[in-house]
Amino acid sequence: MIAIAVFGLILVLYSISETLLLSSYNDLEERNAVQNIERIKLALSSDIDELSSTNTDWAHWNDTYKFIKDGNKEYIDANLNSDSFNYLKINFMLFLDSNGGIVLTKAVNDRSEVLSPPDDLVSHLLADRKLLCLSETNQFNGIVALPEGNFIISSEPILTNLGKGPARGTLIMGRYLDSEIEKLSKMIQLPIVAKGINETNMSSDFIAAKSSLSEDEATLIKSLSKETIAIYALLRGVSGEPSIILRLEMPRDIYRQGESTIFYFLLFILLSGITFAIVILVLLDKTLLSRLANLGLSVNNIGLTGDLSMRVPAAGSDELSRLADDINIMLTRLAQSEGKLLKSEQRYRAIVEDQTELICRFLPQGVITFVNDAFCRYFNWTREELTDQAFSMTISKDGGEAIEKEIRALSIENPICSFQNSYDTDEGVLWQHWTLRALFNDFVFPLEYQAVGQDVTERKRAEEELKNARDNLETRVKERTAELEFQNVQMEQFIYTVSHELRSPLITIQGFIGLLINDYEKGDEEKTKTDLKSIVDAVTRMDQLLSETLELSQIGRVANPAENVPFDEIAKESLLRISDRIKGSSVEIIVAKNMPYVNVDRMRIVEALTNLIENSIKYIGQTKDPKIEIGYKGSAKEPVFFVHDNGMGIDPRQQSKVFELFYKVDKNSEGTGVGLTMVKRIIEVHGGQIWIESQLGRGTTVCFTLPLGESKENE
Amino acid sequence: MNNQSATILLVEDDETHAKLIIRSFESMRIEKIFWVCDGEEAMDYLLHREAFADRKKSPRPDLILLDLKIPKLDGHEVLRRIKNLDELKAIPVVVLTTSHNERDLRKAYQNHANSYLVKPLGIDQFFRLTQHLSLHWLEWNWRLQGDSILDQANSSFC
Repeated sequence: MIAIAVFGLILVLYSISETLLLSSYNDLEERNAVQNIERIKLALSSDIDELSSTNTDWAHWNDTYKFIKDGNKEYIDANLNSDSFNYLKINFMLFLDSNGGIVLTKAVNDRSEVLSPPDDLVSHLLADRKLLCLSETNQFNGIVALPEGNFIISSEPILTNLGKGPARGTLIMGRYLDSEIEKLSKMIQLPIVAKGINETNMSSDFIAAKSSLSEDEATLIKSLSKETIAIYALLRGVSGEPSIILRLEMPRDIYRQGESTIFYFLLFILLSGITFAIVILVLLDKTLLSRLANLGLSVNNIGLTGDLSMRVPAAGSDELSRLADDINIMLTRLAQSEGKLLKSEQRYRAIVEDQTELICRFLPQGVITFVNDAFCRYFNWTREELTDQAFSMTISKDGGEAIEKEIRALSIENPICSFQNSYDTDEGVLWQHWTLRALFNDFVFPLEYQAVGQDVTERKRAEEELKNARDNLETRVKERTAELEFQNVQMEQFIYTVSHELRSPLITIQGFIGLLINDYEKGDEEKTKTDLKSIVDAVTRMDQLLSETLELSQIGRVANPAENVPFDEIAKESLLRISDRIKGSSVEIIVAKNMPYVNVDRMRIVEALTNLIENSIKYIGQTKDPKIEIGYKGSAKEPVFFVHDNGMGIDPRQQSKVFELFYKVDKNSEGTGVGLTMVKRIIEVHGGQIWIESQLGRGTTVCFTLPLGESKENE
Repeated sequence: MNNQSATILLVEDDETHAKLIIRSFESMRIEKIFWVCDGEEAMDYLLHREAFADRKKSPRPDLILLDLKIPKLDGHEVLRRIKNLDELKAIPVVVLTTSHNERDLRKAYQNHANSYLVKPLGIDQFFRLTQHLSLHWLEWNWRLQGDSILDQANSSFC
């Protein structure tokens, strides 16, 4: 942290020094450069002045005045030698007459030989006759840039010693500017370069400078590299036109000095910053950090162990020691309040644990945080098994989603919901009624849930039983109604059949009474007797019909209690009843042995069996060796009892009809046709079934089933 | 007058009822009455089978009187068979039974019974019934045969 702070400080200082110091150093440098170039310009103008005064000396001289006029050779010999050129430090001289015509030109070369200057130079100089001094007051001094080189030029009118005219011509003196510049360069020990503005082989920096320099901006400063800076100045010609660009190169001493100053300054600050940081750290650690860490460690330790009797070290008398003291006091108070809390927790726990209600707390994710003993006992789990389990494991899968939805909908305004839930165990389904409360710490998310459940399995079971009973009752009522309706239909049919059957003898009686009267009146004794017999027969038959109908109607109502008897006994009893009839016929009767026990109204079944045997005897007809067989077929668990005869058999079409009331197989049959109907009724009242298996000429088998009794032969 | 050409088949299981009907017809001198006791016998008679193979013993009846409650084949079945046989269905069949049962009535007419009559109480009523039967069914039948028996029949009641 401290290192970063120090580094930041240095960065800030660096940027400040960079912007403030360096720019001021730059200014300083530039000002120095401008000063230098101004000095050079000054030196050059003093050179020009010097040349001008030399020229004035020569031009305002009677000898020269005379020479222009006569062109005497003595003047040339005496004055225009190499010594005087060297002395005057000029490179060429032009003597012109008043019309600008050349009188004499002289120049000196490198080897100090006096000769004519190059023609090009002369013609270029005089090209626009600018330099001609046509009056006494004309004079031109300055710099001229020519293809042959740059020169300092002085042009004066040729006058007398006293400076009196008229001017006889013009004297022009010129000096190479480059040598002058060289001299200056040597003098100030800085490289100076001058270039004519129209020079063709200029370097790129000059071209750039040329375009930047203007009337107003006479100088331009440009840094060529970190080491050097260049300053350009525009020099004006004789008539004020821009003619020369001067370049002065200077080492950037000042700037570099500034840079190194900043570097050392920053280095110093960095070093001192680091040193201070280290010192502060050491001091901080000694006086504060290690003690704070110790304090934190011991507080942490107390938190971890939960031992509130431990204390933090509190040596010294500064703020930290006071903090430690405060912590210790707080620990004491905490211990006290925890003691109280423990007591109340114990009380609360005792209440919760002794409840018969199932209590459970769980987190919003469902993880159980607390259960009471009743809960564990109820679900048959140990507390260990329940740790980290979800409350939802007690919720049945069928209703789980609805319940979860309800729980999620709880809010601080409506924090309670209740629901019933089933839980499958090996012993059956357990039902609970849960009341669930969400505990909130803010207004949005529940912190914990608390569920209190009651076992309602018994109630649920009772409810279910009640419901089943109700449903059963309903179906039974329906069944019974259907049964009653069916019985009603049967009853109607019965009444119809009976009334029809009873009307039949009435028709006979009424009819024959009429005939009887007729026959009696005629005195036909024979017919009267048969008429009377018919009437008596009809009355007897009617009585028989009435009594049998009554008997039939009572079968279902008057019942003796069921007896557990072997069917053998029933067969024996039936045969005994009609022993006379059997003896009267030649029928052989075979009875099976060890027949199953039946649980029946003994009297009725004997009656039914008797009826069946009688029927068989009745219809056995003229069969040879008539035989009746009584027995059972099928397994002993589901026996079908039968009475079989080897008589004439019954047409299959009539087999269902034989049980109908008053049905007779043919007109000669004895009886009223109630017998088989009665048998059927008796069997059906017992819950059995009866049917006929027969083929014409192959005998008849009447089959029936009966409720079975318990066999007592358990040897 | 003598209506000997009229032949009646009586299907009736109750002997006394048969006697009453036969005696009623006899009083009108209609004596060619063939009496059978059950449905099977009736079909045997009509189709000249079994005991009735001799056609002389089973002449084609002009009228069939049919009781419904008879053994073996019941009256409805006999009626259905008669009306389904081309050679027999022209014979008028009058159901003569003890009951007023609607169901029987409807079923009989569905099976194309020509009439449905209930046995009356009293011999006079029987006489009236047979008179009515012979008038309505036998005369009508004769007329179809082209004979002028109507007058004869009428005069027989004088």
